[in-house]
Amino acid sequence: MQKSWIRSGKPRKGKALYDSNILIAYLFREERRCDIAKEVLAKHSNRYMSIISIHEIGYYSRKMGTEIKFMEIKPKLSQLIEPLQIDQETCMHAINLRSLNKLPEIDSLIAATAIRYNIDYFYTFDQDFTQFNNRRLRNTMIIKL
Amino acid sequence: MRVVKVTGKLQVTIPKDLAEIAGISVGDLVTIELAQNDSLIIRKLKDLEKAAEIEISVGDSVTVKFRQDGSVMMKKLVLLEELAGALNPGRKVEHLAEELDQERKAAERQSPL
Repeated sequence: MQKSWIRSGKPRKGKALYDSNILIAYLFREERRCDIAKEVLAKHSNRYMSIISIHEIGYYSRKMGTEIKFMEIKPKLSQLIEPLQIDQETCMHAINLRSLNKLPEIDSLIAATAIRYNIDYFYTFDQDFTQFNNRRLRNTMIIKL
Repeated sequence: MRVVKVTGKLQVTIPKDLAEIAGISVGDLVTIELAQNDSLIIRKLKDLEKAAEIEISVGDSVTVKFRQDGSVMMKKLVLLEELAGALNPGRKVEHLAEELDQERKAAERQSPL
């Protein structure tokens, strides 16, 4: 069902937050996932990521030996996909997600960021979000790809 | 205030003493801003601005914003396509999402709760 609108080519209104795995798939050109990531990234013009994603992308670029390239593209990446900071309100949402929904710490902080900043769509490849697929957490629609 | 003549191709010469005060010398880049009262403000380009300026080249797309103070701000438009595969290490990459998933779970197992 998701794939039909993802591939429809129609832009979607609203703010979208992308999990690190979407951005990593796109930036590292991950087999099979890069094209899906590209399509969902192109769906929205208001794109966001958690500040944690900067850490995770940077960590993977070090592992892959592309850290220098990461430092070069970081300003462009932040211009295209705005990093959102973690504040006290985000932490409060994360506590609820972690304790009530048994989400791992990082997952709960990233999803909490989407809730905190009133993001319309949260895209992820993470299996832990399968339970929330096509459901709303507050105003945020979770889309597990 | 000094009066100088606008010559061919709309060129003007900055009076030497004013250029010295403003720290402008031959070869420098300057910005020209349109102020609210239709006057022009000439300013020496600082190093940081110079770096940003150099990034824009022929064929680039830019956004142009008119600010309240009458100046014009140009910003290079970065296209999403520019970043596709930008961090690819030059080999086939797969299962990164699963790997990241496992690393997040591993971090969870180490937590004291």
